[in-house]
This record gives sequence, C-alpha cells and structure tokens, in this order.
Amino acid sequence: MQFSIILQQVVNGLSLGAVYALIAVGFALIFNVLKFSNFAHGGVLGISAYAGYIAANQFKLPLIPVILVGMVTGAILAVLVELIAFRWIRLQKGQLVYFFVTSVTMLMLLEQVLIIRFGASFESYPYTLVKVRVLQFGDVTISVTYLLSLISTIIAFSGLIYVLKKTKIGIAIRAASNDLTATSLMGINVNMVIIAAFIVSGMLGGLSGVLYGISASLSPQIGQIVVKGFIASVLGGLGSLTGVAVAAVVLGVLEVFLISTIGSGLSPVVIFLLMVVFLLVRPHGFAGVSFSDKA
Amino acid sequence: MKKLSIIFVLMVVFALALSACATPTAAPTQAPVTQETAGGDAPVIAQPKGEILIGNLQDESGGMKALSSALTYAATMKIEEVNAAGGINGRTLKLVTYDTRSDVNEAINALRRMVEQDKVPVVLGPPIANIGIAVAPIAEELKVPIVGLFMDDKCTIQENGEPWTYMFLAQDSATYQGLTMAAYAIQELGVKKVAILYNSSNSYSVGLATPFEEAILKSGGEIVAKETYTGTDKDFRAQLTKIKSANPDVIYFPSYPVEIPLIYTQAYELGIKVPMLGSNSVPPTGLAPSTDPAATTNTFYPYGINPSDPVLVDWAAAYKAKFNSPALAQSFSGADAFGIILQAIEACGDDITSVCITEKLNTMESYKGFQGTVKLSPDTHQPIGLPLAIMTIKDGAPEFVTWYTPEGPAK
Repeated sequence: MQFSIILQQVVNGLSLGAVYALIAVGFALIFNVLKFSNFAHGGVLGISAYAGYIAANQFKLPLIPVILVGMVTGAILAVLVELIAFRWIRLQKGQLVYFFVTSVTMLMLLEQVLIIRFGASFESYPYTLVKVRVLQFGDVTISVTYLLSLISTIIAFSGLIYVLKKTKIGIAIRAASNDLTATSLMGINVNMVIIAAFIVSGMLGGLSGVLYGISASLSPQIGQIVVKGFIASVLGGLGSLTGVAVAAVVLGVLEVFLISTIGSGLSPVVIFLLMVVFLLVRPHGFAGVSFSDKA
Repeated sequence: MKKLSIIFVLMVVFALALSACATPTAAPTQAPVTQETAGGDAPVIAQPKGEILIGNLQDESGGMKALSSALTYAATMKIEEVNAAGGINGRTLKLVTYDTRSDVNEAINALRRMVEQDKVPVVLGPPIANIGIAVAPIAEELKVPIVGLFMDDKCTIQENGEPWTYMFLAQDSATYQGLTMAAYAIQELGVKKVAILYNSSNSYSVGLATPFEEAILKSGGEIVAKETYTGTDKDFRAQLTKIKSANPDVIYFPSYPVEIPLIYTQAYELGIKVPMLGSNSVPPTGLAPSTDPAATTNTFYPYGINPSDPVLVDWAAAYKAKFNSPALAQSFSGADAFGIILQAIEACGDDITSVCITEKLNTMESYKGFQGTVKLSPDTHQPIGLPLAIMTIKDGAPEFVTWYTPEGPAK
C-alpha cells in the first residue's frame, strides 16, 4: 500500500476518532460523577443535531450559531433528563443498574420523539453551511467538517480540563466524582454540581450531534452513535477523561483500518471482541480508575 | 463479579448496536375492513360488489418511507382520477394501506392481514427488494398477485428459473439496470478498470452490483476494487480511499437514497475525480441542498423515465401540489404499477377475483404508462426491454443524456 494511502487512512481514522472523542468525553463526564453509563447522552445528541438542522435549514443560520443552538439545546435537554429521569433514583439511593436501565429508556424515548416529529426517514444539513468542504495537502485530503470536529474536540477538551482543574465548580465536580456523600458533607450543593456536569455533558453532546449531523446525515437513530462513545469510554477507562479521548481516537483509526482490510461487515464484530478481551485483561481501561461498581 | 458486570453491560450495548439495524414493528395505517368473498374454502379472493379494494404494502414510516410513499401517492392520484370518472365498471376503488416500516416480518404479517381480513384481490407492492423476496412465497401461498417495484430478480423468479406465479415487476429489473449501466460505461465512457462500492446487506444493491460486475468482466474489463458497506454506515472514506488507490476509470455505487449524498460528498472530499455511476435512487430533483454541486459534476445514473418530458413535468407538478413532495422515479413507475393493476381489474369486468386478475396480468399485451409501453414477460414477470434514461447532474440539477439498453443505445 502506498504511503499516501496509509496516511490518508490515518487522517480518515483521526477524523472519525475526533467525533468519537467528543461523544465519549461527554459520556464519560457523567460516569465520573454518577458512576453509571448514561446512554441518554445519545438521545441528547440526536435532538440537538435536529435542533441545529432546523436552525440551519429553516432559519438559515450560519455555522457558528447553528453549533450554539445545538449546544444550548443539548445543555437544556441534559438537565431535563437529569431532573426527570435520574434525580429521583438518586434521591431514593437506587442501585446503579436502575440508572443504566433508565438511561437506555431515555435514549429510546428521545428517539421516538424524533420519529414522531420527523418520521423515520433521513434529513441532511445544507451543504452551504460549510463553505470550504476539503483541504488538500499533497495527496492527502482532509474533510473540513471532520477537521472542525478535531479542533472542537481539542478546544472543548482543553476547556473542560481547565474548568475541572482551575474553577470552583470544576473542583466541586471532581470532588463529587470521588465521593458524592463526602462532597455533600463538605457543604457543597451536590445537586448543583450534578446539574453543572449535565450542562457540560449536554453541551458536548450538542456539539458532537451538530458536527456529526453535518458530516453524515440525520436520522432518528443518530443517537446510537453513543455506542462508539461508550466503547471509547470503556477502553480509555471511564475514570479518566484523557484516557477516554485517546481511546476514541485510537478507536477511529482502528475502525478505518479494519474496514479497509476485513470490510465493513466484520469490523464491528472484531472491535467488540477486542473490547471484551481487553476488558478481561485490563478492566479499568487504558488509564482509568478501577471502580468497585459500574453500570 | 466486576468483570462479569462489565461483560453484561457490553452485551446490552452490543444488542443495542445491533438493534440499530432493525426497525420497529408497526400498526396498520388503516383499520381492517370486511368485504364479501366468494365464500367456502376456495383460496380465491373475490369482490363481487361494492368498492374494489386494492392492497398497498408500503413503508409509511420507516427508513424507506421516501421511496415507498411515492407509490402510495401515485396510487392515490390514480384512484382519485378513476373514481372521479365513475370508477371501473361503475365501482369505485379504495386503497387499503398497511405500513411495513421496511421490516420483512411486518410486511409478511401485513400481507396476510390485508388478504385474509380485508380480502384484497390484488396488492401494490413496495420498491424494496428485501421485502419483495420475503413476500413472494407468501403471495404464492395466499394466491394473490402483487405488482411492485422490487427490482431484484429473486422477487419475481424462483431458484428453479420459473417465475413466481403471483409476483410482477413494473419497472426494469436490477439485472437489466446493472447490465445497462455496464454497457454504458464500456461503450460510451470507454472504461476498462472499474471499482464497485455496494451495500452487501441489501438485495437491491447486490442485485445491481452483481450483473454489472459480470458484464464488465465479460467485456474484458477489470474490477480493480470491490468494496462493501452495511446499511447503517455513514462514513465511506475508508472504502473510497482504497478505491482511489486502485486508480479505477469509473466507480459504480448502486446505493439507497440515504447513502448517495454521503458517497458523492466523501468521494469529492477525497479528491476522486473519475465518473461516478449511480442507481435509480437518485432523486429526479437532484441532490441539492444536501450535496455540493461540485461533488456531482461527473456522474451518470439510470432512470425509467426522462423527467424533462413535458407530460411528466405536468404530472409531477400536480403531484407536488397535492402532496408537497417532489415526484420521484418511483412515483412514475409506481403509477405504472398501479395502472397495470387497474388495467387487469378492468379486463376482469364483473369477475373481480385474485384468480382473474392474476390471469389478466399474465396475458396482458401491454400497458401504456409513464415509462413507455410496458410488456410483462410471462417467463420472468418483468418488463421486456424498456430502455433506460441515462441521466447526469449539471450544476446540481438532473439532465437527460440518452436512452440506453444492455445492448447499447436505444433505437
């Protein structure tokens, strides 16, 4: 295989991995705080993607406002999901498996909302939203929409790390991720901390929904891409946001090389098998913290 | 214990991922009605009096709604036109629609319900090959004819080479379309090295890719790359990069509407400049506003009609005004499928039974429709040699190029 082709496949993989990283970090953030896998994140992503689509298609807004619409929608929706679906379970000190089941239910519910509103067919963002579609570097081309995902991932991830390390709310989120009860005893309003985590997670979900919607197309099942975020989160170690981001990029590259070698049909099978084997060997992922309970 | 719980969660996620490929079941869009039958145990569905019910087996809410609804709309327009003129032999027509959501099991159940409960003597079938293949043996069992747009040969021809008694195709088959595109590529574009990108889990896509590949090889051409994808894929860059490295003269991608804009766009973004040969799933209105016109400057695809034909333009305008949706290729060929059904019903006179309609479909000399004069072969239950319009896209808008057949330019 020519070097330029290998390089192009690496770029393809990095581009795809960047999208997965955005999804995975938002997903892992909630796991860090509440210790459960929040599949409702996919539903938030899906509805935000459609909100961005309406902003672009009906209100003819340019790219940046469209992204903002997606992020605001994501934040609001994520908070609503927390208030409606998760808070009551938390107050009842419900088992983690209840959170997990509820999150899957919320994903399906939000999908159904999209089916009712838009039907099961597909929609597309107008191509004019991204004026320059591709950048050429010798024989290698980079899709601008995927490049946007990569840049957004870097900015969002850097911002998130800054918030978590340098701000009071970030420190509170980190404290809550260690021990919710102890954080509460320290006089921190845990509910507000959790809401803040859902806002950030929802914004990331909205951002990834819009960017993925632009580079692919929209269907009510778009939120099921969260499975890729979940895989990356588990491989990276759900306790480590850096590990999750790295794993997402590795997953993107791996997926592209598997598709180009063994084909699209076998690729997900191999990825899931690798994941199972990897977790048997290293259950806390690349860089994660080992939790006594996961759901 | 911890490992076990992780594996349990993974299993659930894996199941969720797989479920993304499936579509949920659906309720019928119309409550079943009871009609008089010939009675007794005879497997004959008869409608001796009253409204003539015609079954309509379509995806009304699933992923193929856009194509499938085109048939419902076309049939609705035809029914309104016929009923306004007094019906057939003084009897009005009524469409009994059941939603399949592109799910084969739901389609089979819906077919059984519309035949056994609603007593429809004939059915307008879907433009979805997977469903056509699934319902063919059921139609045989129920002895009710289905006229549809299911293009795969397996929908109308059994493994032994005999036609399914009750399955009829009202547009060119996938084999015919694949062969026509191969002939056009070889004779008009002069290609030798060909790449194919197709959906390996879809009968329509496989049904088009296989004869195309065979024709290219038979003509001395070479398949330099053959890449596949599955129905839920949205990113084709890995396959297209591999195809690009094989340096083909042309890429053939017989795909569904959801995949077509993505493949055009991603091929363009990867700097692929060779002609892209598509399928008849490209909308007649072009791909704007989702696809950059720059991505579709070098493409050709087949169509059963020439959308710029003035007669079709007028009908398409009325269609759009009525349904607020542009007429698709499947609207025109769907209108022809329904017209064939109506011609068979009319020929039966007062004997509106599944047996008579099947017989009339088998012996129908021809039907003059939007696609031209459709003659169904008794050997294949497919149209005989309807030329295909080769279309291209200029500045985002479709443009007619020429009429073509597997033998070459249409006379």
